[in-house]
Amino acid sequence: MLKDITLGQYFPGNSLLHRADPRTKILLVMAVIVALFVCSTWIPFVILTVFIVGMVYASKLRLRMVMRGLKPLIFILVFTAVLNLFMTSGDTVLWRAGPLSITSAGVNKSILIVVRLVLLVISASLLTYTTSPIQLTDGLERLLSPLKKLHAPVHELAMMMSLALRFIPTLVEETDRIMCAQRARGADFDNGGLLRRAKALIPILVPLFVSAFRRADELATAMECRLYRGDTGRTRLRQLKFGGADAACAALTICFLGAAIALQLIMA
Amino acid sequence: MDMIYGTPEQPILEVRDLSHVYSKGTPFERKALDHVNLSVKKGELIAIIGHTGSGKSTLIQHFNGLLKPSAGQVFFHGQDIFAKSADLQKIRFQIGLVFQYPEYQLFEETVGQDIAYGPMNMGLEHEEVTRRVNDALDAVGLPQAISEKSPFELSGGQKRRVALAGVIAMQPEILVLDEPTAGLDPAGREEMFDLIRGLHEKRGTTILLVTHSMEDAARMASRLVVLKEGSIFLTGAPSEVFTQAEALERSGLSVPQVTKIMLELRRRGIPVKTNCFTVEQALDELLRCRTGGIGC
Amino acid sequence: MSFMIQADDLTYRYTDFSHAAHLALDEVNLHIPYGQFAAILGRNGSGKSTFARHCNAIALPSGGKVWVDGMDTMDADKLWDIRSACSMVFQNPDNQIVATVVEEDVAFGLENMGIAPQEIRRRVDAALKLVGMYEYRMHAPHLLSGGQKQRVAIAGVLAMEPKCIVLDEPTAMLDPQGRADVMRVLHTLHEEKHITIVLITHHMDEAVQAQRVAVLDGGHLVIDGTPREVFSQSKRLHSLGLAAPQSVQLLETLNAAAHTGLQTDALTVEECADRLEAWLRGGNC
Repeated sequence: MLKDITLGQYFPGNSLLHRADPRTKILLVMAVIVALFVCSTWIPFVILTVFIVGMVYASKLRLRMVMRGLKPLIFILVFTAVLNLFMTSGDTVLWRAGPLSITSAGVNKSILIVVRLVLLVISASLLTYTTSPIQLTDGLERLLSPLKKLHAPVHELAMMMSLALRFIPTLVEETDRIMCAQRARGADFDNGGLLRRAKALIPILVPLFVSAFRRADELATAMECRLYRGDTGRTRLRQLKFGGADAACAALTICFLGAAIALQLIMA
Repeated sequence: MDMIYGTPEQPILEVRDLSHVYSKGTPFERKALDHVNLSVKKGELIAIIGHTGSGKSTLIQHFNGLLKPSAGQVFFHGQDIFAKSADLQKIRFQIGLVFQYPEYQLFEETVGQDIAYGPMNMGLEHEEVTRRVNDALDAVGLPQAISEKSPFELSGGQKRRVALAGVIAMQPEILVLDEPTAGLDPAGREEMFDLIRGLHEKRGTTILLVTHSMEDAARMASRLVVLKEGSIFLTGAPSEVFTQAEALERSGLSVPQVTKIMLELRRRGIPVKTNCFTVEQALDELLRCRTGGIGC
Repeated sequence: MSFMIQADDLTYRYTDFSHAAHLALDEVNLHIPYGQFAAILGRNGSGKSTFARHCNAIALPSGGKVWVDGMDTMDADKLWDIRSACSMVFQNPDNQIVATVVEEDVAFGLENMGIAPQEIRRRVDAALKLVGMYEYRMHAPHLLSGGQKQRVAIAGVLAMEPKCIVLDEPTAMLDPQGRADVMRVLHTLHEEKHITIVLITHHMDEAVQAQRVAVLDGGHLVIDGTPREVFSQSKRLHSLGLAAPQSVQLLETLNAAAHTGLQTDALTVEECADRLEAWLRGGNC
């Protein structure tokens, strides 16, 4: 079960999106998110949807795989949809039962909100699916590097993030193993009240923490042995360079987002 | 295959046509076990051998229901452990599973409390738990005084014994050990093997030993089960399995150095038997060969 | 100075849980020349890992001196140079891989050294090819086998082009296949790159492949010699919690049983078979 987490997973490839600079992708995803919140009518949303589906196509990832990232969010999606469906007041009432009513404005709004959330998650997933965690942290580090002048620990945070990403699968695997071992000694994680279940976690959490600290200690030594001393004098294997892919992505994004926002402004 | 070892007596553990497929229906689908049949008699000491990815760890996790088969059944005393009527929790107390590097599962404040975890989960009386903790410490050769110490201040070898004691304290009928000597030095390995032999001989516990060392397997077990790519590749008494020493070597399993020496002599045209896996057996065979003459 | 690693009267003191003082190393004198393939053996707790940690100043001596490539490890200004000259590989491959892509991990040390990107690329590719992991350069490390991970870790230090690599029980967590692969890589590094190798292990069959074997016990250096010299002392080894290769044991028991008087220092299958063949055939002709 724990192994099914796909959010933040990177699928190697050589598509247009894979080749684009992480900084470009981060900035463009931010622009898409802004556009998604600026737009609130149908036609701009159709444009945005076409654009994002086109980007999924350009990433050469299967749409189904990208949609899988939505699975954990189904509850939130349904909840928001239902909430908006019943809570929006409007003139045309389509259905009424006691205090509950559905208006055409409500239907409109809940569909738009669901589409907005779905598109939001897909564009964020596209970023993480096509950008290796290292590139992602590199990109963030570079984008935030002006803050270094203010003594913000930008490099340190980026390093922590990439180490965390590196060790998530290892620790997930370890959790699975410890759970199996304690189950073999009769541990029961699925039954009993909240308190009992919380108590049942101790035999997992203690070994997990002990192991995490041991790993952290060994990792720190190993990093020192490989001459790590923070940001000082550090070069990178992968140089971040803007290239054709970036220009193409940026141009596409600007065209579509521009069209969507312009239409939104005109129609509003 | 089962017929060779079949007796009127019912096997304590039986695996029938067991298959296991990981991540079925995804691009990561992988067949880990493919129609495995295995029958274990009470009091046997069996070694399950295979290299990483041969399916041995997957197999043993079916023995007490930690994994569910994709196809096939597992019987404990003739009862299907995956049947709706079966109480898996109870079966887990009967089939003790000791994982690789078990010392990493210790969590309690004291050694005694940690060993008591299994027996407490069984719902035993306090007195009985204490008795079992002491008995388990005894079985793994640790002094009673260690019971009050924190498991985290023990040496690596001691920690492993404590973890083993935690399973022994449940007094399982079958003990399954996954690579119990991984990472130990030669002396530590000998001690661990002596300990396992003790459990088998003095307490009559049925033992399944998982290892990737043919040498350890041959020295310890009365029967070997060699897994390869999820299927049983060879099975039988060590002297039978080792008649296939060349096939074993080809399939990437490391055979003992003495076996390699005998194979080399054989290659040079000396008619020695190559199913030797201990120094003593090789010695006997060499002496027999010398007296018998090798015919130049 | 003509030694890669020179430990003079090296002593290391530490305190345990109950604040009792222990000597992990007690006046150890061990000099490892440039280009040697040395194995250090000893049971758990013999001090062999502690010794390894002194070779690139992760641990500093409580007494005595350690010179690495002519530099005193106590000299804090030399730390960077010491660690550039002598790299280290640890037992658990999981805990020394820092990146989520194989080639990025191999590049980590070079990035820290401030090497130019093109040169990093060249060295990363060369190192991965040498350890036979080039095809896996874009893989996620956690999906590799133990032996593959350990080879990636070796590539990571190899790319830094050190004069010496110290490996602390690199095969302890691997299966026979993984162990064989790692040993093959170490021989390549030694023979083709002339890198000094210090291999800490408790697998005798690995130590047999070294040029020199040093045995530590209770913090003391108790045996130091060629594998042939060391492994022919099977009784002594046994008392140190170690075992001689079966080839030696077989010839010894044969000598005892049949008064054959064969030379017992056969370390390989072929050597042992040579002697046995001569003895078996000799009896008849």
